[in-house]
Amino acid sequence: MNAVSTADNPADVVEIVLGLGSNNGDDRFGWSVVDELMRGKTTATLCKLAHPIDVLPWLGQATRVHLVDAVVGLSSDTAFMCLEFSNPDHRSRLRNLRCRGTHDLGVYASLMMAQTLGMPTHHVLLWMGPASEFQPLGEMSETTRASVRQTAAQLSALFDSPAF
Amino acid sequence: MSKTRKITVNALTRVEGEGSLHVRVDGDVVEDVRLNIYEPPRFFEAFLRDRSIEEVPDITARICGICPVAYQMTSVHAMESALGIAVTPEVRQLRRLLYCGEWIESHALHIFMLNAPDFFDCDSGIELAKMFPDHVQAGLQIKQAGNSILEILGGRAIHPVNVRIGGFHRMPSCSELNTLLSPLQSALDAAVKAADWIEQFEFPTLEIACELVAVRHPEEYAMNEGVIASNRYPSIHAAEYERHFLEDQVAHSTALHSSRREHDTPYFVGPLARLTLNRNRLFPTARSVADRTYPIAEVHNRFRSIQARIIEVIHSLEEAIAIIRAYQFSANPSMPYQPKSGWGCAVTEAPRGLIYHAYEITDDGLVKASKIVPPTSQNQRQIETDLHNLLPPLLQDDDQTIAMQCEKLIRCYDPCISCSTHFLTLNLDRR
Repeated sequence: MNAVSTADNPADVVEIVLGLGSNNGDDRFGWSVVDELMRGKTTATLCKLAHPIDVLPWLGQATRVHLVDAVVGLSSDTAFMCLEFSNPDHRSRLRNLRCRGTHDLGVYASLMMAQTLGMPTHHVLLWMGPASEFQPLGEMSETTRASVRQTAAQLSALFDSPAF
Repeated sequence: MSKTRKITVNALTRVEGEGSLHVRVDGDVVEDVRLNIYEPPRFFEAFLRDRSIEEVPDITARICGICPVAYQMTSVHAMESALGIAVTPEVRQLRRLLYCGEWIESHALHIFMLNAPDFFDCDSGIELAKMFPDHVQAGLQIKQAGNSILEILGGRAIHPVNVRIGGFHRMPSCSELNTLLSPLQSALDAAVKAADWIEQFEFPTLEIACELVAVRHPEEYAMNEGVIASNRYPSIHAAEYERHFLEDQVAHSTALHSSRREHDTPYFVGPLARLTLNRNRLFPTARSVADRTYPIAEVHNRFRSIQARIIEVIHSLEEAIAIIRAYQFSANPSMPYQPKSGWGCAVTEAPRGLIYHAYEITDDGLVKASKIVPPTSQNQRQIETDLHNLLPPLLQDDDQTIAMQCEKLIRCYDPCISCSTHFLTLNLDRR
C-alpha cells in the first residue's frame, strides 16, 4: 500500500471519487454520481465499487478520496450529506448511519479496518445521498435522482475551485 | 414438567443478506431449528421471461453482488448448451480465469474478514486486524489480486459486462493480462503462508456425516464444467439435476429448500465438498499444501471449510498464473450463432457451491422459462440439520453463548442470503 502524499499546492492534489453501489434501486446513488461526473470534464479519477472493503487499496493512491454512497434515514429535505472521516463528530454520525454493505462490512467498518491497519483515512470525505427503496434491478427514486445531480455538481464545483 | 426454552438470533452477522435463527428446546431435546430467511423473494426467473437471450448474461450478473461471475457464466453455459454452441479453447480458458478471480476475491473476504475472527472469539474483522495485522493485510492483498482479474477480464470492477453467449465481447491483450502476473505471484506466496497460519487454528469437533455434492471434471479442479458428483450416489449429468434434486417451499423461509428427491435427504455443497471430490485435480502447490495441512480422509467437519477455502485460493492463484502465461491473443472473441428454440442447462461452481441454471428459449431468441438454483438454498436444509447436531452439548450454556456458537457454524457455510431468496436473528424456544 502506498503512503499517501501530501500536496503543498492545489495542482498537486490527486482526487479520487469512489462510487459505492449496487443495482438495487436507490443503492445506485454512488455509481450514478460517478456516471454524472464522467459526463462532465473532471481531472479526478473515477471508479465504481460494489463493496466498501474494496475502498482500502485506493486510500494510499490519492491526496483526497471522495467516497460516495447511499444512506438510509436522511431527512427528506437533505439532498446529500458531506462528512469528513477525520472529524470525530462526523465519524460518530457516520457510525450511526445505515449504509448498505455486504456481510456487515459497511463504509464505517471498512474505514475503521483501514485505520486499524495503519492506512491513511484522514483525507476521506464521504458524500452520502438519501436512499429508501432497494428493489433489485429497480430504478432510483426521484429524490435520489435529484440528489445525484446536486452531489455531482457540488463535487465538480469543488474540483474546479482553486481554494479547495 | 417440561421446560421450554426459546433462543432467537434476530439478525445473523457477517453473512450476506438478512435472516434469523429460531430454536425451540424442550428439556434437553432440540425440537425445532428454523433458519428464517425473510428477505423478499426476488423473482429473477419471472424477470427473465420474454427477455432476449442476449440480455441474460447482464441481468444474471446482477443477481448477486458477491458472485456475479458464477451467475453470469452458468446462464451463458446453459444457453450455449441450448443453442449447441461450443466455445473455443481460448475462450474456455479465459472463462476459467474469470472464475479464478471470483473464487480468490470471495474466499479471501470470507477467510480473513468473516470466518477467521470466529477462531479467536473476535466480534469483527477489525478486532482480528488488531491481533494479526499482517495476516489481515495479506488477506486484502490476495482479495485485490482476484479483483484485478475481474476488472481486466470482466471489463470493470463491478458486475462483469464482457461475457456474452459464445465467448466474450472483447479478448484482453497479452500485456493487459501480464500486468496481473506479479500481484498474483505475491498473492500466491501470501496465501501459502496463510494456509500455514490457518492450520494452527483450533477447529471445534463437529463431524456430521452427510452427502457432499460438487461438480467434478476428469482433468481439472471443477469450476465451470463437469458431472455432478457425490460421495454417496453415482455421478449424474447436469441435465439430470432436476430429476435427482428437489426444491421445496417451506413456510418459514423465502428461500426454497433443496433435497435429494429420491431419498428426501439434505446435502452439502461448497468448498469442503469440492475439495473432497476433486482433491487429486489440485494444482501442484495447492496439492502440496493440502497434503501438508488438510486431513487425507473424507472431511465432514464444517469448521474446516476455512482450510478448504484457502487451499482453493492457492489453486486459483496457481491456475490463474498458468492461464495467463499460456495465453495467446485471438482475434475471434466469440462464436457466431443463430437463435433457435431449445432447452439447455448447466452446473458450475460458485464460491459457495454448486449452482444450476436451465433455460427454455424460443425460435426468436427469447427466454420462455428459466430455473436458477443457488448454492445457499441447496445448503439451507443441511444447515438446519447440522444445527440440530450442534445444539445438544450446548444446552447447559446461556442463550447468548448458544447463539454465538450457532452463528459460527452458519458462517462456515458462507451463506449468501440475498441470492438465496429466492438469512440471521436466533430464536431459542426452551420448554
